[in-house]
Amino acid sequence: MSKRVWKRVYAKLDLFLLLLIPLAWYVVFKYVPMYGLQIAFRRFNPSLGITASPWVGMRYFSQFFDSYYFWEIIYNTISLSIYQLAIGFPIPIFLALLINEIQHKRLQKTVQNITYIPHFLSVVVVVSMLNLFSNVDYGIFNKFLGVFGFPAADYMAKAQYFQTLFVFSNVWQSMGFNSIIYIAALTAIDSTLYEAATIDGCSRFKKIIHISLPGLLPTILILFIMRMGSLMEIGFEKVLLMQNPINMSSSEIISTFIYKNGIQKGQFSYSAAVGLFNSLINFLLLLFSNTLVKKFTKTSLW
Amino acid sequence: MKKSVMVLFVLVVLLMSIPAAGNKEVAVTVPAAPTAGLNASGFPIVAEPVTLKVFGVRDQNTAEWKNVKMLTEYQKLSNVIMDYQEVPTQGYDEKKSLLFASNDLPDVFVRAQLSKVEIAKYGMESGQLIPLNDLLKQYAPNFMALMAKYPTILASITSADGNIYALPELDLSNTGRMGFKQWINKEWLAKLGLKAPTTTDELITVLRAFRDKDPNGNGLKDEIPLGIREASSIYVLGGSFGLDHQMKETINIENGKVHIWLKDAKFKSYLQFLNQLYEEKLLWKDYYKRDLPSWRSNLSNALFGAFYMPYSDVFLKVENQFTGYAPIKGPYGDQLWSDANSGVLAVGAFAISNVCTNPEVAMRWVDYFYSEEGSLFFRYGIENETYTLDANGTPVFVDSILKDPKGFMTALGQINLVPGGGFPQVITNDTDGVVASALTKEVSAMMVPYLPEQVYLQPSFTQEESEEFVTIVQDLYKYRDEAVTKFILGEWKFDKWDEYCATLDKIGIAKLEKLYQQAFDRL
Repeated sequence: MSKRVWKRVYAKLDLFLLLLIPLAWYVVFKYVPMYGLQIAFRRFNPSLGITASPWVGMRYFSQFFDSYYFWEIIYNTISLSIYQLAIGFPIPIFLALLINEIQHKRLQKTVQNITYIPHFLSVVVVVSMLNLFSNVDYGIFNKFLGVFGFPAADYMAKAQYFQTLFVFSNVWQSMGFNSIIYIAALTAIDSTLYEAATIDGCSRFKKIIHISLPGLLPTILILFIMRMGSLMEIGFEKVLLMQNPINMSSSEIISTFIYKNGIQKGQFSYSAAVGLFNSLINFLLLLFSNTLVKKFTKTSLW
Repeated sequence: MKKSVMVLFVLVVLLMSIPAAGNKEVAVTVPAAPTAGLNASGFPIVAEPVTLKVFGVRDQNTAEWKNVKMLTEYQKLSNVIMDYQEVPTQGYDEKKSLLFASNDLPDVFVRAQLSKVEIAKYGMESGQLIPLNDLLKQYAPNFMALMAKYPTILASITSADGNIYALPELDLSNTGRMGFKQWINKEWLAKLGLKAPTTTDELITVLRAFRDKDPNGNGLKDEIPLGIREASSIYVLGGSFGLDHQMKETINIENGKVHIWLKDAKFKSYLQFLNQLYEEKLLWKDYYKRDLPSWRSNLSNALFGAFYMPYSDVFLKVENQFTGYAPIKGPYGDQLWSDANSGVLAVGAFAISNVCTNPEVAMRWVDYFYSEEGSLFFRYGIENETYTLDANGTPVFVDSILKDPKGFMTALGQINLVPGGGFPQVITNDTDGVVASALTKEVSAMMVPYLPEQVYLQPSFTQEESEEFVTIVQDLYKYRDEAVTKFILGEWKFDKWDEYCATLDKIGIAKLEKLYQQAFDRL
């Protein structure tokens, strides 16, 4: 590197030192553990250690692909992710736009606080709330739907309702918190634009469409790409807590499958293979969505 | 300027070296020569104190092991200091797997709940558990005497390579010959003028009366006619349909042939029977939810009319309302109690790791619990302090334990590791009284005549078999559990039966049967 570059680095040395901390975090917790990935191709024997266990090639991958549950797990993971994305992604944007439109400052703050407080509940609490709400005898879902003549049912024990319960309880819990970043982006929009639009006779709805939304778009796109990259990583703890033998046919996803086979049953090589496969799909999705977004707009991760 | 670049570089290198240090692989140590000062018999076991690191699972009713009275007394007696690093039941499986995977091993495993598959993997394959054969011959006279007396023990604990890697918990008492016993509320029966059922039809009649006629007389329909504790116990009545539970699985063994009966017509009619019970609200509706707290509260409030439990310890206060009865006859005339034990309860109760430098000390430590005297000591403690002998010479706990305000099990958990079972020990007719009340013994006696003639444990697989076995079982049993629950709850109608059978074929039920047969033939 040229001397000039070093000079510029040296001038801001304190900032670069600060950068070192997250960099070290990535190296220690994200890159170094990757060397353990090789056990996906080895028959891991703890007394021999990671590097000395015998190679078995793609054996654990084919074991997973040949498994009876392969397609079911893949389908569950992908459909739950897409459902989650389709419902969970746009709602915080709408919420942010709505909150932004509230003129009364106190009311605006109150609404914002009320919507983001559920974020601080722990997953265990939310799942036990779901369990109580869907109780056949006294659950609020059954009490409410009973008014309209629906027969009582234990919704947690029905495979077909699992995804809906999961996604909408997530929306309830996180929409307020996720909307904060959009609200911040909205406040950054130049207020003169709104004033000019008012003078030109725009309605409030038109202002949302032509000023607020375009102003939000870069934020939306970046967040969308990020979400695509972690599409297959759905809230593992919550799914695990919501599982029971009856809804298993729609609630078993890759991460819970890895947990049960790898951590609980000690099949480390097999679950490393499954995990690697999962990450590979994530990575491809990230590439795909980034290319897509890059093609239509100028925003992209790189 | 160069200096600061150097500082940066050094910082990065330092940070990189932190995880590297953690990944150093531990060399396999070979056990050294016998410990100096070891006594071949009697106590103390060693002249100078020896410390062993112990890993195991703690039952929720038990105090911290280092404070458990029996263990502290035994430490004084034996001069073996145990450094207990026990883990609660919740999350135990993960901790156990990670312990082996990271090769950060203790010296011995006590109450370790190692499965056959794990024993094969960590014993035969990775060598983290050492073979105990020679140690047994030299240092375990009590255990060897039991094996000589009960030859089936040897077959149950030997791995496919002919070695023994773990010692079991043995229950040679009458109450131990079966897992679940069947109980029925005799007060309800008397009030409704009914007799204990003898056939499946009579069972349904009795249960319907329990459901409709308010037998506990509180004006509420809070009675639960039939209680089954969890989804995995759903096969408990299978014996009445000719479905045995050999190798602790859904298996019959006839004339040396292993048969997995999941596709049999008899199993279909058993499921239809259970489905009927469920649809008529005779079976506890939450049985599949693993809701132990409400199971226990229903039991201690005597809300179940009929149910299945191994011992009456959880509902001791109301046990007098209940009685036992002989297994019922099914529609095909079968009358069998399939939940039978071979005497070997937990195969992986005790093991020694390859980092242990005093394996002979560990072996002598555990062998005591396989003697009559040691069994009494482990289960009852010290005479005149924790128990007294009654007129018949039967040990009885002192009142301060029996009537402890925190409950008997919690009091017991302060003095020994009996709650939850699974400790390497022998249980005999003289020492099973800790958890088996007089009534439990009586109920067991009613059922003993209906036990299968021979009870087999899961056989040991070779390495390759084990790998294949695990691959099939993880899909097959998962599918089975899901399908069975859905059939019983009525989520699936029985027109799905053919599809269910076809799926079992696809996953490899035939191959699994063959694997069991191969391993069984080696016994």
